[in-house]
Amino acid sequence: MPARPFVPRPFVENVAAEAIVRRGWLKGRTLALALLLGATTALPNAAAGDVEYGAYLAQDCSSCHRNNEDIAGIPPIAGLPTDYFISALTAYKEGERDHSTMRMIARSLDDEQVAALAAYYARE
Amino acid sequence: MTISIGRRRFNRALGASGLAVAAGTLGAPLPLRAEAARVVIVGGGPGGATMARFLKQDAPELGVTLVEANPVHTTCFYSNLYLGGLVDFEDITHGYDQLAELGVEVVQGRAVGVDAESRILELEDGTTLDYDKLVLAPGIAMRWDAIDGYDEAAAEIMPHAFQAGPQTRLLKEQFMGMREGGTFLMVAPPNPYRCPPGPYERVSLVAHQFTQHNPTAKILILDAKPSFSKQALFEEAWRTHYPGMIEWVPGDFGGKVVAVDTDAMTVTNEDGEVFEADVINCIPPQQAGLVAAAAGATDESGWCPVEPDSMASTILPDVVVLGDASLAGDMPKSGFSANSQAKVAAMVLRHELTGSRLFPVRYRNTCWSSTAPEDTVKIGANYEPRDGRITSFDGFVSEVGESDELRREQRLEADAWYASIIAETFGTS
Ligand SMILES: Cc1cc2nc3c(=O)[nH]c(=O)nc-3n(C[C@H](O)[C@H](O)[C@H](O)COP(=O)(O)OP(=O)(O)OC[C@H]3O[C@@H](n4cnc5c(N)ncnc54)[C@H](O)[C@@H]3O)c2cc1C
Repeated sequence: MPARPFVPRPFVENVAAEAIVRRGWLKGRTLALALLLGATTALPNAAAGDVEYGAYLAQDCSSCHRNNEDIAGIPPIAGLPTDYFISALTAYKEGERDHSTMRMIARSLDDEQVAALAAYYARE
Repeated sequence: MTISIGRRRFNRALGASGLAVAAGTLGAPLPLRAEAARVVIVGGGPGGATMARFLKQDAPELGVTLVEANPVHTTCFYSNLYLGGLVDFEDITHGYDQLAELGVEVVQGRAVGVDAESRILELEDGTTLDYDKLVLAPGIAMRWDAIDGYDEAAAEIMPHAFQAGPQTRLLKEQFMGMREGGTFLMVAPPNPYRCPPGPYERVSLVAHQFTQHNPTAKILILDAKPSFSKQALFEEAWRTHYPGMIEWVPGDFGGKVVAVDTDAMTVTNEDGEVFEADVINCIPPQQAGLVAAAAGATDESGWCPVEPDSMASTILPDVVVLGDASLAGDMPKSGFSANSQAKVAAMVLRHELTGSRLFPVRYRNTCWSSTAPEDTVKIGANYEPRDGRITSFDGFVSEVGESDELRREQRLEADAWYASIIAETFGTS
């Protein structure tokens, strides 16, 4: 079967995005993807994200998530496209995505904090 | 500031001759800038080592010294998995080379006293270290007086294995070599103590070993408490994986142990009942690591009261207390908690010493417990300073009857957490 070119869809569908992360499709292509998505999507929240605040908040994430190493069990999150990052956290917060720890974390974050985190992780 | 720099320089020059200072950390001459404050950290566990990393990484201009009694640190977290044969001893033992490479001055020695007014830390060998800020993260000490007959010598016969290292190996040797059909007895401690689910995770994984190597063995827990963390989950696991092997006796029904006899290999409860066993894992009541009391940072409880928004000692000026040694409100004494507290406290210290930004304070904890190799449960919460106290808000806990798949995934999650906290604490990032 000829290789199908990888066409990133807009990261609104959490399940698809999750699968992409899970299967490691972002690995090595993370930056390019982020740039591509950044260029094609308007991100008002992320633009306002306070990266320095995000770096502080990210210290909570890094207790469990490694930046780039892919460890089975907890996916890496550095370099995630900003809109995916925000939509994922929102989905946890609203109970659309299932994970007890992530739901609790997401519930504790306000919009400013989510934007700050997204801005920080998009930069990495 | 100017005066203390002279003093600092003098003492550091003196100190260098008598100390094992990690190579490559102090190549540069002493900074002449007054703002190069010096932070001395006592204890290289998850509390102290995380503090050292984040301070040095985010404010390289600060002098950061880590005083640790041992050349390596064996983590208590995952030591039960070592007992259960799921990880190797080497997997849970970590050195300080990478912190030294980052520029942390790693001093091997035991801190024994603090002159808080002059800001001087004293080590066992007589060396003194001057500081602008002192961080105490010495973990716990056993209360050797609490159970009659249970002292340091008795711990060589009835190991507590609640400070990981030789004690952990000793306990494993003992129960792996136990006679067929013998009894493993655990004396479980009263609150507060290190790692609320720790004793019960341990019993589970010891039972896991017994099912393979000594299936007629019995486990008896004599518990000072009336109930324990994640109890329904542990009891579910014991029924499922180790039916009939584990018996738990709560405090109100004869679980309170008041004396041990290492010759007879017996323990006695408050009603005078005597229990004999082949292996006795005696986990006594605990207090903050001894240097905390020597420094004067403890209250009548034996633990260190702290400000909820900075982990600063409420008793001593310029002293921060992290991890198990602290009285951290609703937070359990866990490695995850110690790591979380260290990051917050590092942010505040950096603000005080360098004028960096101050952010809202929030702490987190999640504790995974493996009840069998592929059956891992968890509990977690957020914490915030509220009404002068570290207070939990929101939280979650695993439920009885969850799918095998979820429990298996949570074991992988726990493994990933272990890799992450170790990388963050002792590793390269
Ligand atoms: C069986 C068991 C299982 C556990 N499982 C988990 C778990 O799954 N998850 C979790 O989050 N937590 C777990 N914990 C709890 C966790 O191990 C502790 O909460 C954590 O280690 C506390 O960190 P700390 O930095 O405060 O102290 P410690 O880890 O005890 O570190 C203190 C360090 O200070 C050094 N030190 C002490 N006094 C001095 C001195 N005077 N001078 C110099 N150095 C000194 C010691 O050598 C040590 O290296 C478990 C504990 C046990 C016993």
